[in-house]
This record gives sequence, structure tokens and C-alpha cells, in this order.
Amino acid sequence: MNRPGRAPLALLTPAVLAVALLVVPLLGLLQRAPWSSLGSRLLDDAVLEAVRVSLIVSFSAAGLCLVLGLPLGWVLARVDLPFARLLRAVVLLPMVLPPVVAGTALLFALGRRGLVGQWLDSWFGVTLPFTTAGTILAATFVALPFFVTTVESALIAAGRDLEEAAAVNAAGPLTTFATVTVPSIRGAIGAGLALGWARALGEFGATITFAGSLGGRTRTLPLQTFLALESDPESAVAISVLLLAVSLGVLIALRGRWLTR
Amino acid sequence: MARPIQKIAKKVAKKIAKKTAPVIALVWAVAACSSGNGETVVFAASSLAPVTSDIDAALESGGDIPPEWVLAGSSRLIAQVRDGARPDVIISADASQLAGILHLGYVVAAEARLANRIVLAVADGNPAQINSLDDLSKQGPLIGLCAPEVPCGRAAQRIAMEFGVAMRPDTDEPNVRALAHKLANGELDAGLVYATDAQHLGLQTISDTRLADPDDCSHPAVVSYGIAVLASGAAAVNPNSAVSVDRYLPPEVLEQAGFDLELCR
Repeated sequence: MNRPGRAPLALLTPAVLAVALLVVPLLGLLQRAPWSSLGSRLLDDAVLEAVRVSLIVSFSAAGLCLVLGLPLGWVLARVDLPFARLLRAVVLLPMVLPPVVAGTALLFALGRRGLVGQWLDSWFGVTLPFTTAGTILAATFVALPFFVTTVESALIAAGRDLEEAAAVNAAGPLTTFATVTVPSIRGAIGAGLALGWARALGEFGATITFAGSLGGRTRTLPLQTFLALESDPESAVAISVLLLAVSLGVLIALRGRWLTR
Repeated sequence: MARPIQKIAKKVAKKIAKKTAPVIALVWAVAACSSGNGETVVFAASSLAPVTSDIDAALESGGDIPPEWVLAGSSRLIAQVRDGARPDVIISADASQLAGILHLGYVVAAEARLANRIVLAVADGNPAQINSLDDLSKQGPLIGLCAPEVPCGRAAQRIAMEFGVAMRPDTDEPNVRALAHKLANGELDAGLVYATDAQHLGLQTISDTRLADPDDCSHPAVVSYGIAVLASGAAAVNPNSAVSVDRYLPPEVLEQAGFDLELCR
């Protein structure tokens, strides 16, 4: 380990600048926060409504990640697929795709006049945009890669020894998955859920594009923040402080995995 | 846990760096040249977005340099000025908001009288069979309005109050453009948008006598823009003369786009 004193200035200077770039905006937020009225602003009806929608949406999205993402992570890690690299790229895409693009894509696919959405509408009378279900879908879209990659890499790291041992003992593949594989990576599943949940909680662009913004139905905390910026910036800062605290909380809860090496 | 992601990131970064470094340098150089050479900066409400290129063309054909447009919701533009931005001209869709920045060196340009109208727009073919404002209070159709925090949403609220229509929006969109586009691609059945956006996107509109032909500026469906100039800015050589600001608002272009220049005169 290099002590800070031995680090060359040419590396240290940009490193300090990078930290400043990350930290200064947060200080700016905290400095503008209306500390004395923080409680009353967060207990405002519109904010509480957004908290409720956000909790429903983020936990549902995390649940969908678990139900859909765990099998997908397993398939990616354990099955020899013909287009594995392409598939991995598709799974990772929502991480780097601008969320507004994701929302537009969702709208053109699942909207009332969309590729799949028109059939949902005419066959089942299901319209996803402007509903809480649509908001959950948008959040799941952006959160899924965080969960899948976490699970997949844990499965690869864990190897197949335990599973093969279970197979020798005549356990079926599903039993092995449930009793051997899942328990062996439960830490990673927890971490993936926390990351996916946090990403779902912060989702903005895809949500507003695909699901719109209506109090009590689709307006999550980030959407409420954006709206409050127009009329009541102090409320926006108050909600931002709340979201910042939650995000920090998630990272601290994951400290064993992401903050140490 | 983070290892595979880091590995992928490393690979991607290497490839990207190799291929894009010259491009980034070029973009940077171009961007550096195009900004900060004394161009007039105009902050304008999003509803002016459809006309900026036509205004630029009119200015260029008259030998003028087009301004640099910054388009956003009016409230946000005002907030940016309060936080230190100093555009030469501000065109807000809510004239009353300008009061909040007059102490920052801005003067209201009284000569420029720009107005817009709210219209009832529907999805192509009017699938929900919307016939009047009253249908906006129905349960079935998907209705969109602007959020009450932005000028077009405040106008929708005024209309609801004045005509006693309890509108039930399925979404409060953050700006009129987002709303108009959702009507244009058929995801919403009906909504209240500006006449200019409806015209720009070719939206089908339903005429309701309560909205049609508002006769004066105080009509709830009329949105009157406020224009302010920075007293020491490039556009405001003489803030009392309309010429300096009106240059950026050629009447023929605006009228063709559906704005009204008479109503709030």
C-alpha cells in the first residue's frame, strides 16, 4: 500500500478533483436543505403520496427482479447459449441506456398503439401507460440488470461443485436449484435486490416518459422532486435529501460487498 | 461481486477510448468555438420550441445573427435566472413570474405582446369520442393535462374553474411538449394543449364554444407571455425600444405558427 505522501502529484491532483466533483454537488444540496422545516415538508400530503407510490413501485420492481432475474442469472451462468454474448449485452443495456430512451422504447412496445401493447389493449383491455403497473414495469426494466449481473457473477464465482454433488445424490435440477444453488448465493441475491431496489427507487426518465405523472398513481418521489422544482424548490431539496439518505443507507448496508475489496 | 462489471467496463472503456478520443477532441473544439462569442442568449418557454428554427431562418434572411435559444418550462427558466443565469432575453409563458426577477437587472419589454390559446386536442381519429370539455371529466378516456406547476397546467385549472368541469387527468405532464407528443402518438385520448403545439404536431382538435375564439386577454384559455430583457444585455441596447426584442419575435413567423399577437395588445 502506498501512503498518500508517496503518491505522485500528477495522480493525486486529478483524484482529488474527481472526489470534489462527486462530493461538492452533494454539499450544495445539503447546504440548500431547509433543515428546520424538513420534517413538515416531508410530511406534506403530496410528498407522502409520492412516498407511498415509490414504496409500492420499488418493492414490486425488486420482487419482479427476483422472480424473473434469478432464473435469468442462472441461465446466463450455467447454460451454454448460442448467443450468450449478445444476450449479456441485451441484459446490460438498460444500465447504460438513457432512461428517457428506455421510456420511449417501452411506450412504443407496450403503449396502447405499441408493438405488443395494441394486442394487450384489444384482447385483454389492458393499458399499461399511466398506471401503477406501468410505473413498476419501467422501474423493473432499469433495475433488472443490476440484479441479474450480481446473481450471475456470484453463480460463476461459486462454481458447480456443490450442484454436481447434489446431482450425484440424485437431486433433481429444480430441487438442486432451490436447496443448493439459491442458499449458496443468498448474500449476492440480497445485494442484487438492494441495488435493484435502489435503482428502481431513483428511476425517473423511463417512468415519466412511459407512465406519466399522476399523484397517488404514478408519481414517485423523483417525479415529485422534479415537479416541486417548478413551484417549491425547497420541497424538492427536502425530498432530495431523503433520497440521498436512503441511497447512502443502501450502500452502507452493502458495505461488505462494494465498499471494501 | 463487482468484479465482472468492472471487467466489462474496463474492456468497453478501452475500446471506446481508442475509437472516440479524436471525435471527443473534435466535438470539444467545435463546442468551444460555437459558444461564448457574444451571441444573444434567449431563454424561452418550451412552447416556443416549434418556431425557433423558423425565427432563426427569418433572422438570417434579414442579415441578423440568430440567438442562442435555451428552451425549458417557464418556471424553471425563472429559477435559473434567480440562481445566477443572465440571458439577454427571457420569454416566459407566465407574465406574472417576471416580477420575481426585475430586481436582477431585467426590464419588462412592454411592446411585445405574445399570446397563446389552449385547445382541446384528441388522439388521431378521436377514438374516445370526445365532443366537448365536459368529456374531460369522464372516467373511461385517458386524459392528459399539464401539471398545475407550469403555465399550461395553470390555464387548464382556470378553464376547469371557470366552466365548472371537474377534469380527471390520468397524467399531469411536466410540460406541454410531452403532453402533445403523447396525444400525437395516440397514448392519450384527449388533453388541453396550446394551439401552437396542436398545429405543429397536426393534432386533431375538438371545438368547444367555451374555448373557441376567446375575445380578450383575460379569457381563461389565453396564456399571455411575458418578455423581459437584461438592461445591460446585448439585446437591450435600448430597453425602451421595441425593436431590440421584437427582432427575435417576427410577427409573420409567430402568427403562422398559431400564436396570437392581437389578443393581449
